[in-house]
Amino acid sequence: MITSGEIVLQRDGDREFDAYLARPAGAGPGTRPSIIIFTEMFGMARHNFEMADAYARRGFLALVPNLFWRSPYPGELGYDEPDRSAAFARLAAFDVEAGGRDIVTAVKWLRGQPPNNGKVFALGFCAGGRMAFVVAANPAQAAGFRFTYVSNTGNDINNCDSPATACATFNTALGQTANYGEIDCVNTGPYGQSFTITQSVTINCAGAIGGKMARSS
Amino acid sequence: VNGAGIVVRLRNLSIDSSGFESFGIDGQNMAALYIENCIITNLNTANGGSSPFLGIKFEPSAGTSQLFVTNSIISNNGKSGVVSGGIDIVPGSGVAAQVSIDRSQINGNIFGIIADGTSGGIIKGTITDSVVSGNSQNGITVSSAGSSVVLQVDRTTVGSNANHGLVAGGSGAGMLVSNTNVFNNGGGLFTAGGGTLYSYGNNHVNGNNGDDGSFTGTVGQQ
Repeated sequence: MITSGEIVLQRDGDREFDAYLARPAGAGPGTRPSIIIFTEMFGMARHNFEMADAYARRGFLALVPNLFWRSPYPGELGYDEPDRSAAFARLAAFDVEAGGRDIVTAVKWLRGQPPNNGKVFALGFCAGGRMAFVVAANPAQAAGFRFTYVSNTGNDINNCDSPATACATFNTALGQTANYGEIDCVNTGPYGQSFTITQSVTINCAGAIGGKMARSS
Repeated sequence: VNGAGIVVRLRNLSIDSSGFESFGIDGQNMAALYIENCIITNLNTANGGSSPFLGIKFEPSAGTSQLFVTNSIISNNGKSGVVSGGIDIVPGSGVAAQVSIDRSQINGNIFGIIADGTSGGIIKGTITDSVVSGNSQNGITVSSAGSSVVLQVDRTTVGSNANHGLVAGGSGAGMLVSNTNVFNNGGGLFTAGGGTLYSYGNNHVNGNNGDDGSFTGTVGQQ
């Protein structure tokens, strides 16, 4: 039995970087790649979600990010006029650089999720096909940050790359940290549940002596 | 910790299970694991967690793997009646574990430190400038009927452990001991099954409940 639905990857003022997530049942931590699906220029549509669900039923964590979340109208558009012209206009105004950062945010988030083994498979359709290449064009960022941060006031929708954007858990921070990178503690925690380290990394809570990683429940 | 060839450094962490987890740190597969300035405590039954309750379990499954525990406190771990406690080193078959425990306190656990060749792994380790005290079983134990398991213990205090201070069990197990105090344990030195405890001739072994025991032999100083 899969679980699926909308999640929020990032917030900017009132705007939300939303995505559709389909999560498989029973996938152990670090066991398999995840899948990111980029939509056509018409935006987030049912058939994209159904594809994500289909991958989840086959055991893969699948994410459909809404790359048009920064656009004036971020929702789905139809194939017929006037929506069709609106879709072309939205695509023409698309900020590829910001979109690239958003993709990195989404990829890193996926890499921080328990079933992920560090690999993310990207596929896109029509305008979304270009986005799959944008992922490949940002390998350094997509490989993770040299330093990341955790805080007991952090949030796992953050990218963990500064104390102000710290994540809440070591597990998510590990997904955002480059091989041989370092995770630092912003404060003393506690930081909740146990986690598995599968990459070379330093975890350093020097700034938070007495910090605890104890399970909090 | 589980990744082929990885190097993991854990610094300045307080790992307090409060009785929920069974391992503080579980080293399963890695090239090297550094534990520096850490406190690992309360891996025990307080809240009904499951066995085996170890502060550090080092059980590398492949190749040669190194463990460095420096300036750390490992206390109040383990479950009475099972092999559990502070640090348990059990490399897999054919795996070589190299271990350094330096300037650390391993106090108030069930067993203190165990180096175990049962799985067929080889262990070479040093314990220096440390205290292994108040554990309710043995202080430092080496155990192997087959593969070589040898610890060198220097400038270390082994005191007030309820069972023996230093124990070598099995023909593959040995300890080389210098500048070390073994005091007020349930028994001092204990060997069985061909295990060996060698002294460099400058240790203090006294007051161990009338059972100081004796070293298997001495090793000359250079």
